[in-house]
Amino acid sequence: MTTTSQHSTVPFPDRRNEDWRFGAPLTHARAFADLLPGAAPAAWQTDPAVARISHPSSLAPLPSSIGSAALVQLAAARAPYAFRISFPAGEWGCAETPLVLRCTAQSDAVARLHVEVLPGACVHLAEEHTCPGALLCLRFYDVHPGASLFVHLREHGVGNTSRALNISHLLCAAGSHLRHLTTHSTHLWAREETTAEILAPDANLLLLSANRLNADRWLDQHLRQIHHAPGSESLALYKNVLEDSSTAIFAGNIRVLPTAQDTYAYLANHNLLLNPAATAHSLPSLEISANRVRCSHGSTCAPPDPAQLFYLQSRGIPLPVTYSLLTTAFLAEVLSRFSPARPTELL
Amino acid sequence: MPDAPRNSLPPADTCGNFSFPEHHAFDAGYGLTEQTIDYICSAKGEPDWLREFRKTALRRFRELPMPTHWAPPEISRIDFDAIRYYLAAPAPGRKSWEDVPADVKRTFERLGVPQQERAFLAGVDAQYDSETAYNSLRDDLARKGVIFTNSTEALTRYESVFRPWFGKVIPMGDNKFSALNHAAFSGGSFIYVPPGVKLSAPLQAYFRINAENLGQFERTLIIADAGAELVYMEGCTAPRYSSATLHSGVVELVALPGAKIQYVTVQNWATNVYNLVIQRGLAMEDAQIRWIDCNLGSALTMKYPAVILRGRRARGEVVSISIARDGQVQDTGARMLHAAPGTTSNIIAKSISIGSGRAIYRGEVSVQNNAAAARNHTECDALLLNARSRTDTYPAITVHGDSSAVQHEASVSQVDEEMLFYMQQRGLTRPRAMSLAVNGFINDLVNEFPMEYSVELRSLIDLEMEKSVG
Repeated sequence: MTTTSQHSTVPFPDRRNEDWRFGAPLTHARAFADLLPGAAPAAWQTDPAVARISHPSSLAPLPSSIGSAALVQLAAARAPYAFRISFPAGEWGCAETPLVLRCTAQSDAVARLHVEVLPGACVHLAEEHTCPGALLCLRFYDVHPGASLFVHLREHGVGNTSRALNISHLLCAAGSHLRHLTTHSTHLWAREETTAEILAPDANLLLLSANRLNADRWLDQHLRQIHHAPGSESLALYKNVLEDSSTAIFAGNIRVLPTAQDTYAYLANHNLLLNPAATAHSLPSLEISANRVRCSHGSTCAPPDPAQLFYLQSRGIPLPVTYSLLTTAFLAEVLSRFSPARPTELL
Repeated sequence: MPDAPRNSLPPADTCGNFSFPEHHAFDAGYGLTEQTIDYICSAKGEPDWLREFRKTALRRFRELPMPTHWAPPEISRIDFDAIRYYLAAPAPGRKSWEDVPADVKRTFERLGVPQQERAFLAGVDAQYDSETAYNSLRDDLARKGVIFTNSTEALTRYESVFRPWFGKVIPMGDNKFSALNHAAFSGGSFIYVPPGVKLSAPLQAYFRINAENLGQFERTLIIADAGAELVYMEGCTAPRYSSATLHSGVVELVALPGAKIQYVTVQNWATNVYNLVIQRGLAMEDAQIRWIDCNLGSALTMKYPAVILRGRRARGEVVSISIARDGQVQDTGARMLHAAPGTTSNIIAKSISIGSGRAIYRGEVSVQNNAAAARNHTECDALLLNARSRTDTYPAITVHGDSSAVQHEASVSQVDEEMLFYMQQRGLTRPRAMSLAVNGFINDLVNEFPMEYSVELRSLIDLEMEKSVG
């Protein structure tokens, strides 16, 4: 059975699936599925230093752990080769000037990326996706023991009808550090499915997302933090500013297996609603099967604090500027965790 | 909100692991079919409209799927054909304990119900298997127009009050188990409190399963008219059998403008009982509904007390304690649906998982478009006592618009070893230290229960700690 036909046996997302509970998942998933047969593999551009160590690879498709198995199969059929980079030991980019990895497409496209960060490597990556149509990207980041990776994924939609679907799998080995930030802007509809797994002790994982949505844009983010091994830490902070009639969905899950004692895991989703027509859905969840842990989550959905609005206006700051200051500060907390030196430049 | 008077009572057998031989005048046999419904209707003397109503519900029950895509897998173990749907004595609903059959009376005496009635209750409804065995209400309250009876009598004597709200808060097709209850319901309480009447003492219902393989489908409807106030307490036990027992109840609360209802449940079913209950309240303008829920027993409990905040400034609150011991699954939570401006809600849930027990919090907070300036706070904390224990938290929050604020927090941890060491260093044994730590964890919530229940609850926890820690 070919990969293309395999997808027909795998169920599409639907509302009965907890991972696709809101919105019109089948509509969007089918729209993607309809586009993909005509989609071309996307092109990757990168710095010359990275290009020298990159190579195509016909890796097997990612197992999707969050609801989109049919789309993963379809994508693998359309883009049989992944853009693969293996970073050996050493410093690759820095916080001020990260290495740029750019994925561009002129119309509907499929992209696959496989990044390995080998022991002793410290990598700073800025990953940019730009597409006027529908872009489906499968991403696999493998951080080896003792390695560090800072990656900022920036999604750019072009025009008012662009769509993006990122299915990401992040693996952290013993003693590794992974800091992962996503920012979305201007896509009509974007979905992000991220599975982050800590496979060995003493790993440290920080998952961040900061987004400003306007018009009738829709952002659907799913995150799974899975702890297999003891003594590791994972923190997730996802924040959205919602203007006009935009909608944000966040479904996060911390899963601690019985083998992962002494885990510290935290998950937070905060939504700032600025318009009567804006909507936020938040579903943080925990599945804990070890008892020597500290795990927690938090979620808020609220407008700006009236006291803060009044305070700034009482200092002579006009209301639109007040809103701008507060929303920038709201998102700056996320960005400063990724890059303390230059948070607002990241938006 | 009225408080229960504080009196000391002799200790009751709150675990209830005892039974008496079955002496039923009516026995519908196993399985639920149209013939079963005909039997129930004939035994109860119900009108034709209700017979058709039940049969429609049966068809709906057969059509609706089991919620296996999200519910704990244990739910698949329920064999609906191995359940007995109606077992009753010849003339239920006695008004005096002297008229209650001897075994039934001994059962409730052992559980402490008559003593509690004498000490501090405004009324009691004691259900034995499928029907009410005893029902009473203080004379002064009856003279004020308070109604406290069972669902069968409500349908016949008080149809004009009962029927307009029957099945309106929880419709037949709401889910598979509401359809099942609509088809097979028997027993349960009907309470009506007239406008402005405030009950100073609580009303109590006690649900007792005695027979093996029984399904108990009580149906409770409480209507508090404008400005009325009441506290209702519910207890339930059953003997432990090797075969499964099913308790699938429906509780509907209606708080009309300015009314206050507090509904307290202490569930301590035996560990062969599948406890699937739908509880939902409708709060109108300036009304308050408060669910205080404690789940200690059963093999599987699935219960999510809900409040639909329909009127301006309505308030809903859920206080929940769950203890999941070896082999138990306590899948509990709360739902708050804000459908009017200025509504507020508060959810506090604490759970303890012992041995291989699994405690789940499943909640929903929804703020609709027309619910401006709504406020919600949810807090759920879980304590894991053993390496095999498990806890899950699944909240779902939806907010429309820019004037409401919803906040949610949850945490999972174990009892702090330093705290235990500190207490042991002061001469306490480890079980005693653990018991103090666990009681401290739920102390704030236990204080919300009427004093008699809170004392009993702390004793039960002490007993559990001794058994689990050794």
